[in-house]
This record gives sequence, C-alpha cells and structure tokens, in this order.
Amino acid sequence: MKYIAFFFAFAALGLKAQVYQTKTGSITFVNTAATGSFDAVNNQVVAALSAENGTVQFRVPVNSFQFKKELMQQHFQENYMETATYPNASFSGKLVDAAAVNFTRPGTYNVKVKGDMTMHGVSKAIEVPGQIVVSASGVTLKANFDVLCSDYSINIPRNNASSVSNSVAVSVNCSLTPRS
Amino acid sequence: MKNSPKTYIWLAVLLIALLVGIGVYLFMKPAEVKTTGKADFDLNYSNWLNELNDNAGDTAAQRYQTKKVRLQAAVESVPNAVDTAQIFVLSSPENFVVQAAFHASLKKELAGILPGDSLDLLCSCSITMPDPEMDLLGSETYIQLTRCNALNWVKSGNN
Repeated sequence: MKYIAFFFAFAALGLKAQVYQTKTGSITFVNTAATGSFDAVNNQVVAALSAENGTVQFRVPVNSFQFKKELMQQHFQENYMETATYPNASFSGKLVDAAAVNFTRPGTYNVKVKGDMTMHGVSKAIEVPGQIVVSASGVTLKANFDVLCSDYSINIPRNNASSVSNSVAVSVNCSLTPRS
Repeated sequence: MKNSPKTYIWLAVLLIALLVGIGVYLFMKPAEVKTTGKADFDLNYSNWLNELNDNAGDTAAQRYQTKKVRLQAAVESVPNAVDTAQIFVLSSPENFVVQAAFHASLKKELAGILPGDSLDLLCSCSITMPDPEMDLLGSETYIQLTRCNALNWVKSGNN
C-alpha cells in the first residue's frame, strides 16, 4: 500500500513538472548596418515549454525593449514596430524531435524548433536551431537566429538604409522553472 | 549699416554648426531609463484592474498600450534578479499578472524594496489579454510595466 502511495506521489510530481515557464525571460537583438550597430534588450519575455509534447510558446512585449539611444528607441517603437498597434511579438511551435530531450537528465541538448512567429501583425513559419539546457532547477532555452524585417512588413525608409539593416540578429536566453 | 558678405557667411556657418550640434545631440542622447513627465493616465490600481476585467478584450487594453501610467500598488514578490533589469511582481487578483520593470542602473536605489511595500509608480504600459492560441502561457491578463520610475515608496509595517 505504501509503495502505491509513493508511486502516485511521484507521478503527481512528474505531471506538475511537465510545463516549464518564465515571465522574466531575456531576448536581445543586434542590428548591424553600414554605419554602425545598435542593440536592445528585453527582460519581460513570457515563455513556456511542455516537456510532454514539446510545445514551445513565447510572447514578447515589444514596448519593453530597452535601447541605449533615445532616438533609436523612439523610431523602433513608433515607426518600425508600431508598438501601440502591435504590442506583442510571439512564437508558437514545437520541438522537432522532443523525444531526444531527456528532461529528467541534466545536460545540454541541441534541438530544432519549428513554428509560427508573429511580429508587426505578420505571421511566418520558421525553423530555428537552439539548445535546451536541463538542470536541477529547470530548463534554459537558448537560440540565435536572424530575422528579416522585410518578412514582417517592417519598412525601413531608403534614407535610413545605411543606419538600419534589414537583417536583425536575435538571441534568446530564457530560464524556465517548473510551473507551480 | 550694411553687412558685408563675410558676415553672412559667418552667420551661415554658425547656423549650420548649430543645426549639426542639435542633430548630434539628438542622435547621441541616451534612451530614457525611467519614465518622466506627466502621466497619460493617473490610475486607481484596483479600479483599473476591475475595468480591464470587466472589458475583457483588446479594446480595453488598447487605450493604455505604450502610454505613461501612474499607479500605486503593493509588491507581491521579487523574482530572481536578471542582469539588465530589476523586476517586481505587483499584488493583483488571480487572473492578472502585473510586473514592474526597472532599468538595471536603478538597482541600488531599489535594493531595500520587499514584498508588502507600497510603490507609487510612473511607467510605460503594455497589456496582453489571454490568447486561446497561446494556452501554454496561461489564461491571465498580463500588465507589463516598463521603464518604471518609483516616485514614492512606503515600507510595509512587517518589514
């Protein structure tokens, strides 16, 4: 009887730990153009991962990107991303080979994630390589990939083309803990 | 008195230098790390949450997107520190998640803030209503306040 109770207790713990989540994930991006580069960071990324079926979802409040220069921040919010109209960017997808990740064994797993990224009101199917680092406290999702502004109808005026590149290097680093 | 052409040239040079100076200043001006100026909305926190709760849908949230909001709320918890920001979770009903994010450079002056303390905040606002297509992220309404400025801070009697 005792063993059965233990079994159910562990099973319940396992079920609880199947979804990992953060509300303070980090995404940075760097835009390198002919006349220089600029970057921005966002620490209010909401992300979740289901260990059961490999579903991954991200939501990024665009207003929370912090730049170093005021003018760039203002242009980004008002002219490029139109944040008041499109307040969030998001991603919803799945690990291509979820079975390859053992969420009970600490280690670093190379993965591919496939899904739809929505930004500036435009959705596009993407597949990006990344890493899942499993540790005792949870999982960390890491990915580096490029995004083309033109894919999401983000128009860069011709006279700004030397200071803003169409290609943006995005870096994701989110530490997720089991959802309580 | 008649000005010589040289005077006009010097005036033109000065004007161009002034315009270039203004351009360089605007280009180099550091981004605001905390919200300043007059609030677009001076809010009663609990009434505001009720308003958003009663008008579930993007229309209610749309009014406040990217606007400067001023509100007073209690700190519920302080999540693990991240390198480039100091984030506080504010007390809210179960179906809300309210975060106030401060720039990393303000960490020192916020160091003593603990759960239970009351903050008078001026922040830039972002609201996300629950999205059934993003069900894994939960069914709460997210209010993500950014570039926050703590105008006043009242310590809880328990601290």
